[in-house]
Amino acid sequence: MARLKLEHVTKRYEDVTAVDDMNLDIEDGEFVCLVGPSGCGKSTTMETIAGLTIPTEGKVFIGDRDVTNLPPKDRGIAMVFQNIALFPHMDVYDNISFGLRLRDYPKEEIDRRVERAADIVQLEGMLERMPDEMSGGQRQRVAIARAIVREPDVFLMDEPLANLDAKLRVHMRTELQRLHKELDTTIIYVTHDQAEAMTMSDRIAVLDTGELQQIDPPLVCYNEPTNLFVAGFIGSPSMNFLNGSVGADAIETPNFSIEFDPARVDGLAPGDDVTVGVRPEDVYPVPEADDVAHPTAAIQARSDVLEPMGDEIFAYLLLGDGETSMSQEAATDDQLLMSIEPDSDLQEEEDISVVLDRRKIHLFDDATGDAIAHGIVDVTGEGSTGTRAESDD
Amino acid sequence: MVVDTVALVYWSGMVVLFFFWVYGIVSFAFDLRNRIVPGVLQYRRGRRKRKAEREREQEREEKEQQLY
Repeated sequence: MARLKLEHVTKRYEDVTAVDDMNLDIEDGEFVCLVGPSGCGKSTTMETIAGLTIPTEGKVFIGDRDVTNLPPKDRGIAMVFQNIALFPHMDVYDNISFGLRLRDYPKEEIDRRVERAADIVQLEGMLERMPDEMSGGQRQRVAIARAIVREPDVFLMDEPLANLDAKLRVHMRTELQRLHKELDTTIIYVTHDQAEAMTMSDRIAVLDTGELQQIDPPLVCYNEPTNLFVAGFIGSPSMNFLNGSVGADAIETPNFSIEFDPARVDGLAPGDDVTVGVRPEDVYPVPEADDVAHPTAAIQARSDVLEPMGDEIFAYLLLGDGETSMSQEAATDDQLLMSIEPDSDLQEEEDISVVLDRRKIHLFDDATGDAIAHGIVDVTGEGSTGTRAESDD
Repeated sequence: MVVDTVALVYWSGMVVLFFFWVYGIVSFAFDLRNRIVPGVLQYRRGRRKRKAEREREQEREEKEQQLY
């Protein structure tokens, strides 16, 4: 196990900055996911840690060692790649033991480690099989076993489940969590699948345009995003965003007003422009809003499209005059996505009143996108999860 | 009159013959400058680039194998 630290790491390719002044401090035994859209710099960050890429600026520390200019073999890390990359002409035993044989480990030690790794990833009895005789999940387990036998300080995993089908991916996700518990090793995991990041990691590092946007536990990223990008990226379906402007005691959006507690949005003055964010599950049809302690006034809407998902229904609502269809280029201010119970009798093209949970409303600075408040009503003493945005602290 | 005709045929023949001779040399010179030399240079550049690419890929593969 080892602590991993990136200090002001920047990687430039001619005129493109892939990673920009990245600072990361990952503790011993932590499982950290790097997430972000394509081209955000997560794979480059991973390759910088692995030693496949030398940073243009900055330093990489593993434990107390500065490994910035060390080759991959001297960094004490093992990596699992997206393409699995098994040797097709070697059987499972030879694939798993490849790294050890390369380093001239004694035969007995190799046998011991391979057996243990095969046991951990449940590949006992398959050591003589060839890769083309195995399923995708089994091949991925071989790749993981190959990393395990090295007993590295840090595991790097670059979208290892991306090529697997959805069912197998969910299964392997659980396997990796079990593996992390068993090995208790630092794991850095790159993915663009936020479900993987949310379920597996101790902390999520959200990247965009080469810059670290937020690194926090999954639920903190979900409930207290530091900016608009994180709020929109984490959570599926995405958070609703509405343009608003601050009034004396209410946020005015084009279609409705939301009363707020001035103490919760310190620093805002009447007339300031803000972006209001609310997650689909924090929008409630009025008949089901009895349990919402701090609802907004009722908002009139019309249901447009319903998407039954089995365990919930996503209802696309039209605000205002209700004449703008979601299929047209509608302003986001006229739309609201709501998640409702699967047994709801709401129909398409039906008028409906909804409320928002004011404890779960997020405010973002319109100019910078930075979070201003998470929850706009004072719930001191009520045990709410809503807290003031701390990104500026 | 006969002499004039012979001269005319002679000079016409010479013009036709030397025109294509000169035309061929000039065309070859232009081809050399515009097609053959650039083609050879491009081929050599391509080979160098492919070699560099192969070396980069090999280096990358070796580095990746260090992580297995």
